Amino acid sequence: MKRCDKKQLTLWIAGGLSPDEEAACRAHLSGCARCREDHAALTKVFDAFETHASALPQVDGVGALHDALQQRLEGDSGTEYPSRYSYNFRSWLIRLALPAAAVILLLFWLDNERKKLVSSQPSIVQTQSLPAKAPSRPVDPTFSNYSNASRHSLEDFDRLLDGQLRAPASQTARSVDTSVSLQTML
Amino acid sequence: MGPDTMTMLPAADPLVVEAARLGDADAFAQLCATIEDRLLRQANFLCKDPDAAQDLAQETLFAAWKSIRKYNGECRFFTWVCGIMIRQYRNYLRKSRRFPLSFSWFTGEADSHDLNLENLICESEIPGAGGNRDLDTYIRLCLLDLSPKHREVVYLRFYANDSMDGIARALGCSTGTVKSRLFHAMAHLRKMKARLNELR
Repeated sequence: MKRCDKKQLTLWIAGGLSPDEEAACRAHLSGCARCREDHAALTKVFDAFETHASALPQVDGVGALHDALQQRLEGDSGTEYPSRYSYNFRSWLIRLALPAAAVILLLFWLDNERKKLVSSQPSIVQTQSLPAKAPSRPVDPTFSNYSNASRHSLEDFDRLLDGQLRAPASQTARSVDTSVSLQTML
Repeated sequence: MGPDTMTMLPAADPLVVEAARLGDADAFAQLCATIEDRLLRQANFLCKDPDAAQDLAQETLFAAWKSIRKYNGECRFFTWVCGIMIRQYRNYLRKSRRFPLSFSWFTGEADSHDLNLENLICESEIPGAGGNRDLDTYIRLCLLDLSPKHREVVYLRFYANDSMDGIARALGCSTGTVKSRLFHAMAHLRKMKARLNELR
């Protein structure tokens, strides 16, 4: 014990320290006047209690106490004695209460999260109710168009494909010409 | 100055304890026979009235019988019974109060209600009484002035005369908690001693 520690001092007097800790306390006490004072005061209190506890006066009536207890035990046996079943049942109820509450709370939380997730995603109904856009010009079934179309429904994409197939051959040829001219430029 | 220096009761026979745990009233009575004398002395000290002491000791032993299944043999039987007695004593204090409801009841200082130090000293001190009686009064005042948890630990340490581990097992808490409570209780008792000296 390098510093003054009143708790250690109290426990030392109460017999609650290991031999090593006791030795450290004793070493500290030899060099600390304040702790010596505390030790003396605490020892007085401890001594008072121990003297008192060891010198409690003899009392009459031990036999009467024994008889009275015997009578109560005889009258009580088998009637009020708590059965193992009821004790176990109560203890299990107490043990189960907390996990059950935790599971219920978890279910509520999961349900709330699911609702939040569903509300944040656009529903199919919403996409279908979008105002139908008549394509001002025919669109090529390229990847970019596909990805744009995938944002809508499959039906929209089918419609796009249908439109492409029905497009006049001159327009298709023009688009091919454009790609050829781009290749030559690069 | 540990518990070893004072007389300790022999450990209870495990077979008798097991029989009592299984509901054998005779085995329980046999267990109690070894501690009745000491228990009654302590009850007499706490109550200061032989009839009340008989009642307290009897209620304690009967409460021990009711909850004997909870006794797991990890601490001495006497320590365990003493733990029950100090709780029964708390109930006794509540019942013996003149006015069952008071301001202190609402503020959670139910046990301090009986504890007006000045009044208690005046009531309990008889002129010409011996030094032993003074010590008796002092100890009782000290115990009453402690909070229930601290009182339990101090009582079991000195009157059940058990080790820190035994007390911890009897109370169902850790040894560290017992040490901490004992430390705070002793700090309170030191202050209490100073206050008593001032009042006298």
